[in-house]
Amino acid sequence: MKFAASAALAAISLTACATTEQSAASTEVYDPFEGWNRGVYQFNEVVDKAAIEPAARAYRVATPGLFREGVRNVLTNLRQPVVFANTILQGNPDASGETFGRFLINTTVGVVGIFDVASTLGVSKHDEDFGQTLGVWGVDEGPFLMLPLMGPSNLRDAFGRGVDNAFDPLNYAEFDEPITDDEFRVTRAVVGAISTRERLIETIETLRDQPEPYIALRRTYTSQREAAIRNGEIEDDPYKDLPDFDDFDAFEEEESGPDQPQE
Amino acid sequence: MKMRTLLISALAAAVVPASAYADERTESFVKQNANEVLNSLNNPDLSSAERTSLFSGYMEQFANINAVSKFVIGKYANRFSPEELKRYQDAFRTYALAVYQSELDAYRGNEVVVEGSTDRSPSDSIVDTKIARTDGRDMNVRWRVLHRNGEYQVVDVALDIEGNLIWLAIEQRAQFLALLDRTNGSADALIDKINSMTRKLKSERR
Repeated sequence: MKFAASAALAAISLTACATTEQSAASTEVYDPFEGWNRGVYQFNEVVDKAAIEPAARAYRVATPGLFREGVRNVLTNLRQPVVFANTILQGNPDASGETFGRFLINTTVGVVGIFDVASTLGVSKHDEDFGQTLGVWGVDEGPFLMLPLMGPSNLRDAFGRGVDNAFDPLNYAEFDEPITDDEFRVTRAVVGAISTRERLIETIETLRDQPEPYIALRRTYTSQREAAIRNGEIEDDPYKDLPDFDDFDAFEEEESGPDQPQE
Repeated sequence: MKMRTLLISALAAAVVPASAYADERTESFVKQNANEVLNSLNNPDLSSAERTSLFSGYMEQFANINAVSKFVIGKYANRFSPEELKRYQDAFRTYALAVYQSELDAYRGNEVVVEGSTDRSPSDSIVDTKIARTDGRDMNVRWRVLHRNGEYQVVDVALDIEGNLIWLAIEQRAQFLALLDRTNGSADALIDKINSMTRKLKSERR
């Protein structure tokens, strides 16, 4: 019902994944582990409120918007090799070319990705991961999962996340000092988490205001992943699973009840 | 036989244009009413209270809030007592109008352009529109319109968020039902939640 809430929730991109066959309109998301998932959700909320959200708010206060945008750009640029690999696996040469071009342009002209020069030049941005690739291949999403600290997912996307890590060349990079490798990865993960959380401050506030935040998150995540697998295209027959309005008809009859003779 | 063929042809000819005509009428219903609603928020001669009153009046005509209020609680519409149902519907109406006003305010004064429509049945259509925004990003909004007893009324609205159609009443229904299931169908729990959302909305407005 709430426009902004829906729009904001739909924009949640904490993680990724969804289904190719379920329809967002009608869906009851397959969630056989709901009890466990709700427990993890509550755990995540506690950790978030105690540590992650305060860090994200402090980050927002302490840094100018341009700086945060630069950080986001760098993090996005670091992910382009993974995006590129997935565009190849999805058989999308246009997206592969654009992703490769973006990485080259932003890494060089954009000073290691700080500036998104490629977007300024009109090179399209893509966001692909192995969960989406599996979806394109027709793999069902499996049960919904709430992952500790990482948020909503499902079996396919959780598996995809592991594969994406394996794709990521930076996970194999070796620096001069062995300790530096770990430091780099931990720093990237922490900065990535805080940057993402900062971007989602208002969205998560909206989510928490919902009557059932867990349900809202589960549904939004699932339908958003479906849309991501379709690369943002609306499904061919978007109205096929809309509920019939027999309910409404029945209700309309009831609404006239008080005016009708009562038994 | 010839007469029968003629009759069938005549019926077919009558039915096909009727279907197309139904689309046009639904589209113009949405175009006219959606624009009236947005314009009602953009009248500088009115006070804030007058604008809210005018807007609410238009929305009551445009959307079937009673039907939506029952749809979003599903089976519980029949389980609430008449007194609970009335209190719930009053709370829902206030909330819905506050939400619509708050969110549509971003589009006030802008034109709603109809881009097409789809008939799911002769009495159930979806009208696809685009609303320009001041930040330059057009918003694709789809209106589900039912034609009942000679009247058109909107019963749900979908936002196209990067290919993800979010039907607002359907999403609301999923959450309301989950809350009611969790609270053993407590009307008071739902009403309290709705009222708290309304209060927050109004406090954010100004």
